[in-house]
Amino acid sequence: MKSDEFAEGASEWPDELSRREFLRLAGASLALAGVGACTKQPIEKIVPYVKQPEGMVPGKPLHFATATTCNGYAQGIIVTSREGRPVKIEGNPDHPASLGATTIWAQADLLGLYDPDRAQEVMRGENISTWNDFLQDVDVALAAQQSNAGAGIHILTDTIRSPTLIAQLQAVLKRFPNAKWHRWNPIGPDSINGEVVVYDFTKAKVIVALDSDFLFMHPAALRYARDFALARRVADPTSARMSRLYVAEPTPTLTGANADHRIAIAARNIRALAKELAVRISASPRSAPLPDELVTFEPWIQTAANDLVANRGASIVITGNGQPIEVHDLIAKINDQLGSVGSTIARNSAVAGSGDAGPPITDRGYNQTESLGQLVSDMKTGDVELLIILGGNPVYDSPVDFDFASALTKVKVSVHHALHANETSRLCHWLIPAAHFLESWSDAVAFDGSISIVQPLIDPLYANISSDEMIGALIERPVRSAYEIVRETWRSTNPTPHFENDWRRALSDGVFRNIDFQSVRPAELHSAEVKTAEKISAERTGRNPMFLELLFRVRGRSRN
Amino acid sequence: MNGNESKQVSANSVSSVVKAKVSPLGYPTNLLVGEQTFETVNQTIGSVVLQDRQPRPWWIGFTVAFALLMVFFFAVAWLLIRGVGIWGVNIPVAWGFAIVNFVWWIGIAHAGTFISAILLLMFQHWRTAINRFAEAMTLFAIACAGLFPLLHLGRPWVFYWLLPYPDTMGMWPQFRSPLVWDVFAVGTYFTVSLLFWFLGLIPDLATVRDRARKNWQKIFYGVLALGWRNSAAHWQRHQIAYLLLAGLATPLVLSVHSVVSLDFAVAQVPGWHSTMFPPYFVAGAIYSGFAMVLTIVIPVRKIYRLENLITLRHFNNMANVMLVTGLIVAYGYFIEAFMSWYSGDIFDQYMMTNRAFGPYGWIFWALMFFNVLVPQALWSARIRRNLVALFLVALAINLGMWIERFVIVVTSLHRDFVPSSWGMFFPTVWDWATLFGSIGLFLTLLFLFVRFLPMIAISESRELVAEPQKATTA
Amino acid sequence: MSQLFSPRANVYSRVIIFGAVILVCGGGWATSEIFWSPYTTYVAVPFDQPVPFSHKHHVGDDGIDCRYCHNSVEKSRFAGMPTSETCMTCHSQIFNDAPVLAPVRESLATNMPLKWTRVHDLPDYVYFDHSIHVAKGLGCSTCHGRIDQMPITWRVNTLYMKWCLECHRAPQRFVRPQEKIYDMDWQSSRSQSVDGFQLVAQYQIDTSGRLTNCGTCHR
Repeated sequence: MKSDEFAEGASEWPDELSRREFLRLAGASLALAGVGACTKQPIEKIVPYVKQPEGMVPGKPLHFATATTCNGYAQGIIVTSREGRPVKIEGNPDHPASLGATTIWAQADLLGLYDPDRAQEVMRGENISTWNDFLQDVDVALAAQQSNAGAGIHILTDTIRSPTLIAQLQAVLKRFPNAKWHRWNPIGPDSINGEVVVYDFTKAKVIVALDSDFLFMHPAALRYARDFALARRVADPTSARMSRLYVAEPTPTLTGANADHRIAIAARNIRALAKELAVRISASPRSAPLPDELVTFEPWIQTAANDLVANRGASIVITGNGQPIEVHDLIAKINDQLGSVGSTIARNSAVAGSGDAGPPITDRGYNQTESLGQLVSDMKTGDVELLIILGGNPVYDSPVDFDFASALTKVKVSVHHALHANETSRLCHWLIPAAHFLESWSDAVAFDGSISIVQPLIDPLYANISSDEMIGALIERPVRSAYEIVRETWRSTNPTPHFENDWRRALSDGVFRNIDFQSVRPAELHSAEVKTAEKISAERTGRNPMFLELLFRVRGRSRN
Repeated sequence: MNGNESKQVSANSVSSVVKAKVSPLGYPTNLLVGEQTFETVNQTIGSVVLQDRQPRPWWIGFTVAFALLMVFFFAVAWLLIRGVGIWGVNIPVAWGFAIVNFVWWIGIAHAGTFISAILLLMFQHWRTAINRFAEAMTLFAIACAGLFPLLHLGRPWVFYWLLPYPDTMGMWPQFRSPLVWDVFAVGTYFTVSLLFWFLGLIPDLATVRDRARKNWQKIFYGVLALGWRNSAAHWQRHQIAYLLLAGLATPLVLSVHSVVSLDFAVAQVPGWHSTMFPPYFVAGAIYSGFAMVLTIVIPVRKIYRLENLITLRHFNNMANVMLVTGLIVAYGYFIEAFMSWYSGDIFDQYMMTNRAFGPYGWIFWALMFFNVLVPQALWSARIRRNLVALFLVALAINLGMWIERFVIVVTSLHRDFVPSSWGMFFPTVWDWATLFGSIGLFLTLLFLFVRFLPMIAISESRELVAEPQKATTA
Repeated sequence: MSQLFSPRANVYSRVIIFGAVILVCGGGWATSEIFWSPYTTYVAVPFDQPVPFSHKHHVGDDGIDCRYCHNSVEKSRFAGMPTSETCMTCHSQIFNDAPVLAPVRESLATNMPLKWTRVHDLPDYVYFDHSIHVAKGLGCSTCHGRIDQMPITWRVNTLYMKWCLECHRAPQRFVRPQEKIYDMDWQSSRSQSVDGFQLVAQYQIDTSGRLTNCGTCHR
């Protein structure tokens, strides 16, 4: 028997409702049954502005363009604001990653803003403190670091793609050359390909997706889904042709559901499949026998390969973040060989903010697990004197054998900057309540490099501090406001006389400018020694995980 | 079966009397068995009310019924606190147990008026033994029935919006909706049944008043008897009023359940949208009503030793009525299936296939067993007079008629026109608590009734004693 | 048998029976009276306000247009309340030291808004939009009465749903020409029974019954 529609425990007997009280309530509800309608309007107040803001019509909503982020990638949104309160999020038609659509997470972002469980006060241990007290503490810690060029300073962040924040972090590393910046994203890939690849699904006649859910779980999924749908919609049957989608995937996805030809294949066999595809489309197909694990997929492989060859220059082969870097390299070679780069695929290794100082942001071969491991061993030896954690919850989500929690207690001054107080905040000396993106200035880069300025819709509801102000505390006194920091970043890179116009235009449109992509040959990106997730896990367990696959599929996103 | 009955109050053996006055067709010719006088009638019926101690089975029954009533209060209080979400109802099955129980109780309520009014107008004097009982049952069943749509409203405290009154909203109920007709039909039925029942009670209350020894009993029954003095003028007016009310109540038997059936028939849901529903529902109502009368009268007759007043002939007649209405209902099932095939409408055809072979198929076949197959036993005169067998058949029909409403409500709704909105209905513990709790409410009222009011019409029984001829010609 | 009831029992029973009838009917009547009385409807009840603002003086005597203060009435669901700054456009020049205006001056000085008591307050489950009513020919005085004659503002209508429906069911009885919207003197003339229908057609007011759909106001 189905219990009922409510969440577990919601319909349980509340403890505080005693028998006496229950009877009283039952009696009262019967007695008051008839009196329920005997009410009159309560007297209410009406409160006009002292000075009405310009352009505001009471009772009419205003709309502002800003951006939310999905695993660090910007998605343009338009937020409806009523009397100064953001009430609805919809897509920004002018933004390349949105085209007017939003994801379910973007829609739900509003709930995050008004979440009463958000961290509300600057906390020093158990006590409520202030931002200024914190700055004094930081000053003391930084003074101690001057002598050794910041060797005791460690910063742990999520995967960050905000140009301003990256520039700030690089400024930190410039001021303290021995400081370290670690990045840890528990649901992202261990190591990532160092290039930005943008696909144009409107032009693709044949698409082969190997373990890639580009229609749903992808930073550009909104855009790709729209483009894909366009290529599938045939307005004029005589001239146009629908694109064809081949999908090989280990778990059912939306992309697989849209496929014309779908096979279910273990994630570990994707590499072999990609190799086989590469062989079949090459000019000189060798006649080696098919590996055992691929035998059953022979028809799919051959059909896909034939189709790819028949549509040279109009095809896309794509793989997902769950696959190791070798597969990404292999796929890049296949796309090169098919001549798609330049027609359906654009590449660029450069991402805004990655300069020469410090590690580049999407650095190839950067291994987050190893980086986190390095941080933990430093913490255990007591070398970490000031640890700033931007967002996340490493105590909860770091690998359990690292024992992050006990290592954290050995840090001299630990600071957690987060939207919610969590396990990590509880073990840190300081908790700085983070500002929601609807409360603070920032910037973000979309999948194709378009820049959006994140502008606030409302003043911080509590004593919230933005990420930019948080990092600013390490490099400047007084700490400028996030608005000044963000604006300065873009004014310094656009020293034109009409910056003010560009800036206002960007705020109005929701997109700052587009980066012109240049194709980069994958051979230049080749690197021999990269530890992949598979190798690490194989090293850890001491054997190859060949028989049972455990796949972590993200149905959501992380946000710092 | 006669072993127990030999211990009754009357000195005569029932069986010998029955055998002595049996008609060529096998029916007992005299309704009142034994040598009854005015005094023995008064004594037999009146003493139940006036005696201080009730028999042990009354106490046991009342305790069980009262416990169930408490379950009902508990379930309803929780419902008022938490809302209808505690029930299993949801889209697509938005009408769950509440409406099933409503239709079931309303159906049960039908026997009362049928027995009282229609049989009175047709001079079927055998009704005398059971009419009071059936009328009381009607009242209590309507009370149970009426609660369910109110509780199903979600906000029962604004139930009065169903009534047309000049409000501040300038709104009137939607008179085109059969749900509003329901309010009037059920309300009228309850009012008329109450008046009819009370009118019949007045002379008997006077009898009890006169026989009472204790002061509080004298005053209690005296007030209720409204100053009845047994004068000829009283009797004349009483008889006119009684016949008039009977005439008023007769169309109600047909109208109430017809209106209830329109709740369904007016909707376009396959399985509901059928012109056959009004007569089919009315037959089913009388069917279930008689079954409920039997279910209750058989034990009561035994407990209070009323074998001389409620005779085998009554049971035989009631069984016959059940057989006839049962056959009409079975015909209804057949026509429903036939019409869905004959209509050529795929949704109708699918509805019928799904009803019989879908996820709720087993309930459909249980319905066929209890409502169609079991009652066929009533063709046998031996079964009709075997009280144990008759009791079991009546129980089966009660159950079957509840299942029938479940089949109509749930299986029709759970498969919508669009497969994406299909769903299943699973009753929660609160659904069951409300159903069994309402049975508790019904039984509690019934037990209080037999305790405090004369359960058989004393004055009418006296008439039968005075005019045995009338009875034999009936 | 002794007499159970005295002859007076008949009187008692009559009193009880008729008393019950009177109680039920009287209860209904009393409920209705309470619901239509100013106690519940606030009709003609003046409210305490931080400043005893007189529409009679500003509108009737000075002839200030409604939209000078309620400036979003044509654009928004909310007619708009004058900001403290709006008051001070005049009152920085005239009556600039009147004690009665002290709260306004203080509001502007301290940047704390004035808190007026709402005179016309609909329940929160009702959607109401001033702009559409004004655009479709409903004048201010139709709902708010002769505001130009009120030394302090009060309600002239109950704002009950029944009252709303009087117009939503028969808009032709109340619509007026566009140029008369802010005219406090406007009265429906004898030709309203003809003009009304013409205006309804001209304003393209929906007469298909959509105006009385639940969802029109209860969104």
